[in-house]
Amino acid sequence: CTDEIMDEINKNPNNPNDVPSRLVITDAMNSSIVSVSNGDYAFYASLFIEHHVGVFNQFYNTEVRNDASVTSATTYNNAWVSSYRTMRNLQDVVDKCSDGGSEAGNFHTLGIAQILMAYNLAVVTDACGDVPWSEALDPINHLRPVLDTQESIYAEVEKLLDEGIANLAKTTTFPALGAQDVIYGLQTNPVDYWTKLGYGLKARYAMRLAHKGKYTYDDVITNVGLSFTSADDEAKYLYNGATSFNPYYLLFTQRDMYGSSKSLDSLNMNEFDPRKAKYFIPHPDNKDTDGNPVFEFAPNGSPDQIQGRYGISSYFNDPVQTTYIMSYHELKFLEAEANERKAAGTGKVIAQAAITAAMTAAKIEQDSITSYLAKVDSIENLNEITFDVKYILKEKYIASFIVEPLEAYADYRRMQSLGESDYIELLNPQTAKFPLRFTYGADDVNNNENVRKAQEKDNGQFVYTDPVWWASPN
Amino acid sequence: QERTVTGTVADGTEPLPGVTVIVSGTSTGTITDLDGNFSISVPEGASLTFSFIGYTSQTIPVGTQSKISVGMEVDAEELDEVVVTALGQQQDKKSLGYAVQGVDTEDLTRTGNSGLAGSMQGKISGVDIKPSSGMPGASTQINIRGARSFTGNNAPLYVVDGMPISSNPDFSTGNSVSGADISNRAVDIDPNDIESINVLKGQAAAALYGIRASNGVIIIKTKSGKGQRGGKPIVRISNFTSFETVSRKPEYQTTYAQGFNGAHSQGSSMAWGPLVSDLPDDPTYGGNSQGRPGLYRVSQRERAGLDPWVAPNTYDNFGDYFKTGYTINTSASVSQATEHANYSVGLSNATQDGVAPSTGMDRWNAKGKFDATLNDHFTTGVSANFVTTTITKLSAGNDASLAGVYAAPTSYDLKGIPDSEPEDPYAQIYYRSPTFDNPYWAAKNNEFVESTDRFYGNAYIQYETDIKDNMDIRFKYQLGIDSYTSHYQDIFEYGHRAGAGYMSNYGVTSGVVNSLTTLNFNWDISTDSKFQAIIGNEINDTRKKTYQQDGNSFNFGGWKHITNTNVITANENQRNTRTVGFFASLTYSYRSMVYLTVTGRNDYVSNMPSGNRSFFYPSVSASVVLSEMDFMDNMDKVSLFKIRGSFAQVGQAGDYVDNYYQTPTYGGGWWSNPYPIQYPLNINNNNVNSFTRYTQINDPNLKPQNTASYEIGTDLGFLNDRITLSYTYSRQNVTDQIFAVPLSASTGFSELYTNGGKLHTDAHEVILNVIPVQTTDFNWAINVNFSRIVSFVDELAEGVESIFLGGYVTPQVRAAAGYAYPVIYGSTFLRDDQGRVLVEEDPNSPYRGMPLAGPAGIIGDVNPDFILGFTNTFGYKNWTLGATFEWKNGGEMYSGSNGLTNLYGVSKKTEDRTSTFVYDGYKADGSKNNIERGGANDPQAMQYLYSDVEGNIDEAYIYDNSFLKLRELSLGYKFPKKLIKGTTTLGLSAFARNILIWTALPNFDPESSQGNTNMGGSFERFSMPNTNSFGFGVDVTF
Repeated sequence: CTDEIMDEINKNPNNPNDVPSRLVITDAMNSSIVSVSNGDYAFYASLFIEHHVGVFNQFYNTEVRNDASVTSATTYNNAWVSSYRTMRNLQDVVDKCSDGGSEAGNFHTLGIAQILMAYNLAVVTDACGDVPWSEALDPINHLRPVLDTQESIYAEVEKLLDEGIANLAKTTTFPALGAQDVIYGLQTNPVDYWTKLGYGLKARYAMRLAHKGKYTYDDVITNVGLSFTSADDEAKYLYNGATSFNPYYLLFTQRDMYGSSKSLDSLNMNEFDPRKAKYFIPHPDNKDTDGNPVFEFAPNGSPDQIQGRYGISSYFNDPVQTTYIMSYHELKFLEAEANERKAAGTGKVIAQAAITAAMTAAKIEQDSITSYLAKVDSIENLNEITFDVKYILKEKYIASFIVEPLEAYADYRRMQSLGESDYIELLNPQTAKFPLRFTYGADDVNNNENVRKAQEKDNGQFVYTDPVWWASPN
Repeated sequence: QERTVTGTVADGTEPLPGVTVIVSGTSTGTITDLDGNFSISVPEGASLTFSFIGYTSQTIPVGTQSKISVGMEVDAEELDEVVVTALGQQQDKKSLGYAVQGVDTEDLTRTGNSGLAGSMQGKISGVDIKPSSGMPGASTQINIRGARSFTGNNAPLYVVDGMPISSNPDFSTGNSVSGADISNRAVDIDPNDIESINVLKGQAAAALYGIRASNGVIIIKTKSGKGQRGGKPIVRISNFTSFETVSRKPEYQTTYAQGFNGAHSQGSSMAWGPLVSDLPDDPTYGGNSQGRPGLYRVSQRERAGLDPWVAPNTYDNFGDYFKTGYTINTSASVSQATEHANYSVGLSNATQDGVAPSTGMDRWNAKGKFDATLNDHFTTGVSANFVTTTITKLSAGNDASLAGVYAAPTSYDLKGIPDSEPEDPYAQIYYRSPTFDNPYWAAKNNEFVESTDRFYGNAYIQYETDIKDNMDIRFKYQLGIDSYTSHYQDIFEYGHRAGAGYMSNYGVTSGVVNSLTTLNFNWDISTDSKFQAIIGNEINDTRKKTYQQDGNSFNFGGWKHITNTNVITANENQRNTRTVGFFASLTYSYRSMVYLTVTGRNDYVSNMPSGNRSFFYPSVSASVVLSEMDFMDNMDKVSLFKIRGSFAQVGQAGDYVDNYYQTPTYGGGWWSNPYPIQYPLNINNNNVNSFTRYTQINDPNLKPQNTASYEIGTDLGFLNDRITLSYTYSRQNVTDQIFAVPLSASTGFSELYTNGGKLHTDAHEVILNVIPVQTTDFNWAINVNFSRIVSFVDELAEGVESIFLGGYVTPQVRAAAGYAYPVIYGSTFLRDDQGRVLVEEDPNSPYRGMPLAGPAGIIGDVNPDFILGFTNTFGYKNWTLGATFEWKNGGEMYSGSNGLTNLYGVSKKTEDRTSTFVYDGYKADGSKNNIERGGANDPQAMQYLYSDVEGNIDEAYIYDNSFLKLRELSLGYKFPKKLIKGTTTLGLSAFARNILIWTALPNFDPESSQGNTNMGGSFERFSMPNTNSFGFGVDVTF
């Protein structure tokens, strides 16, 4: 039996050994959405920033700050793995489309991959601080990647966005991604939209780092100007409810571990906010003796561990609730904050546009939006609120309730480092156990001593004490 | 001058056909006919030698006789001593330099076990047989001398009538936390058709099988009629019928009702509620304040359309659910041995109905075996088996059908309250949220079935001839096939988890062709020196195709077909492999005293990377029979004293393919069906697909893992072998372990399939046989099998401390460097430097005085200290009484059901909620914990302890699962011959299996667990229960 015969027998008819980049980038987009934007980091961030209360099982344990849940490497492993797997796919696309790759010159696909890479890399460093990057995604040369500082990683994020935008501007002979681009593929000029997303992300990260002296609020405003001009431009994802589902919907139908947050309702939302009717609805299993629905808020930090009692969000019932990589209303809030920080009073009008966009996204009727804004004006006139940076951030916090907890969590930590964290009120009594970051993933902790060393600090208690670089005091 | 001598050869009164009659010192001879008669012409003064396998040869001088009648006697010693070894070679047991152990048909079938694995339990040393449960057809792990592979195959090779057949499951249960068990293919073997089993335990014994030899070999010889006396056809009909019940029933508390924090809550999974007797006082549900004194309202009864008002009561939800199962094994066979041929034809059926509803097995085996001696030189034969097996199952783990059976509050009437609404059979009514299905609903609506049609068999032709007086050769060619198709269906009906349900159809078509050529050469160099050589070639070619069809979300209930689902995805997988081996074995013996054997085999395998496909495996073994030596002639009492030793090196190939892309999936984590994304994906009105690099990358320099082993042992016989003792020590060193080395996720990949790591196994085996009494009417035999086997993980890959074998994120079963294999991993109790459990000291914490959770670590050692099998058989006249005990000492398991019944507050352990307690732990300053909890002012303390604290410490769920079981007890009676006209024997028996259990594990049977992989036996969570059985058998021959 010769090697040739054995080679023939051992041929794998089931899987391709290589595929074109357009087939790889599709899943990189999908996993960016369902596993990163709307994955476990987002689920847990929702608890930290009290968008929801964990009332059962894992989420309950996090809610009551059971150390084993918050400090152990296993809790967030799936999110960690998803982040790097998504970036691996993007790296695969980058390699194929760069010089020396099988599709060298496929600039547009390359640019899209770079922008998505920047986004994913920022999510993982926002979550975990110093993370592997320079040696990551290269198992041939680096089985155990070292950690890079968050500062250097943000330099990479910036570089990726700039290169991505530059590549999108080049002309290419390669066909457009078409339907394989599940975010902007159906737009007339997808490249323009991706470019706008690139600038939008630049605005977001400029804001993230502005207080670290890297960027100015003008940088934020400049990039906002090159980004989305309406909600039609935003980077959102449409589920079909048959083969794709919003993960919050699945989390409710399969796990049912969230309850309505008392602090969000009673401390942070205006009582006349029309979104309350959508944010807080009775759990379908909670009925009184006459069969009428009963609504109950879950107390932050001390719920009973039970399913079927505390209220839920109406968005949990929507299998096709949109997920955002970046929304138009977020962009407008960034613009509003930057302006307001530059000159008090200049942010309000932009913020009103942001609130309008956010409420529209939350499926609120235009009439209700108008009257909401009018009521805000009226209570401002009564000096009950001041429409300042903190108020803008609070409105952003409420707007991000649906599916943008990652930004809400980042904003809260940024505001902490600025000494402005009282822009919202949180109720969890264990304030010393507010997680400032996520732990590293167990798959690196177990198999990579560089990460293990970082994770073992204070037996994992560092998550309560060590802010990530951009959230640490200057 | 020659003359003709005639005569008859018989065993007692039965004539013996096929006896070889030779004129001593010549090659002239004949064979007796069907009636035992012979006729031969002899020279003056000659002697005749009569020989027949299994009988003592006799040489009788003819003298002047013209008619000679010979009575042949069974040679007990010789029967014992010829054993079947690798590749069907028959060897004198004395010559073996390694341990083999056999089990006879009688010992296997004494209690009518329909499963081969179960029927071997306690009867072989060095073999650990771990059933997953008592569910009919449940998978079983069989490990001979421990483990050799971290994550790969540790199951022995099965060889039936010379043909290696598939015995492993085609589908792994994966992490073994969801779905139903998947049977091993060894389930197709009918123990009733087995004539003998020989277990080749060590690598030296199995070395001729080459790359497949590392896990030992179970050689099965099925009934063939060979050697059967009388020449007449024998018809045998037997039936074993037994009744099964759950082997152990947990104890429940019946004081407290459903709910938590002392309050009643309908919908809660817990029983931390009020006193059952106080339910009528409940502000919401109680009748005392609503004009229904003494009653309370059950909302589930209301949904079911029943009168919601009932008096508080407690229910035996566990006992209500299980029924008495049954097993009926019936087999009929015809066999005959004539002068030139023998055959056996059989048909048997095993029908099992499990103790849990909707579980069962139905298996039909048809078999034919025929051997013929064509002339002095040619022999031929064929063996054919057809099996059809259907198994119905229930799911466990996260999908457990039995979750509610094990853990429902006793205040809830699980059986009495319907499982669905009267108008909608798919709207479940349950005591808790639909994370699990109502067990009654699940049994009625969900479906887990596997069915297999299988054919295996072989045909051979053999040629033998003398080359010289003292030399002969034998050439044999055998071609075998093992071909089967299995179909599986896993159906979660519409209404599963209050959703639309989903289903999977999957299956495999597998075909193996095995070609085996052997040439034996025997040379009696002198009367003292003998030489034997075997050379040969084996080709094993397998083709396998698996398919998978997943259907998601039914349109409506009641039509459980994939076309009723809204999202359908399909996959198929093809895999061909070929192994070509060349082998040789050389044996030299001197005066039945010293034996030396060397073997070598070179394998070429397709499923390894190009350039790394050829491997050579040597073995050497020697035995010295000291009792044959002159100096021992005077030691009458020692009938056998043999020492033996061997060394062998064998491998195990990996399953290498080039790196590839595949369609991504989104299972795992939080998600069971449906998933966030499923391809092909309809998005923006387009169907899109995607591929990503498979998360495992394969090392192109992969080489086979290597097991180098040596064993030494001794066999002793005393008092004419009334007492025999055999001891074997073996050591296996496994290097270049092939496994998927976990990668740090930041590489973008999860695993690198490569060589790495070391594992070693030390095994001590003792077999003791004693016949304390042996008289005409009464005899008593004792058989003891002792094994102490420890597989130890010396190292994994660089930087890797442990690897995952199955389970959850935590707890899980792992292989961990520096620990015995395998271990259980999970969150620990926080301990001080001295290893003492620390307690919460914060006076404001609800958990004060209770243990703290530490980091994840190794929390349990699965390995037993030893396993002891102990069989007594008594024979008195026509009666036989047999009892087999098995004692497993040491070893731990994760008992999810024990932990969770505490967590839910349903176990007996949680009944006393009024006394105070001080948790047995320490404070940070080293003093003993003195924080008193519980009592009237602290009513929730126990709930906090079990539900909140221990519920998050996996180590609290680790239990010692040592046990002593009376595996088998049987009483048989054989009627004196010809009680009924036309029959020759009639036997009746009564038996019991797995009765009497003493175990360290509370509440549940220690032999109930999750998984058909290497994690088997160590991880339990709402798993199917084990059973005990009582039955009777009847056995008639004509």
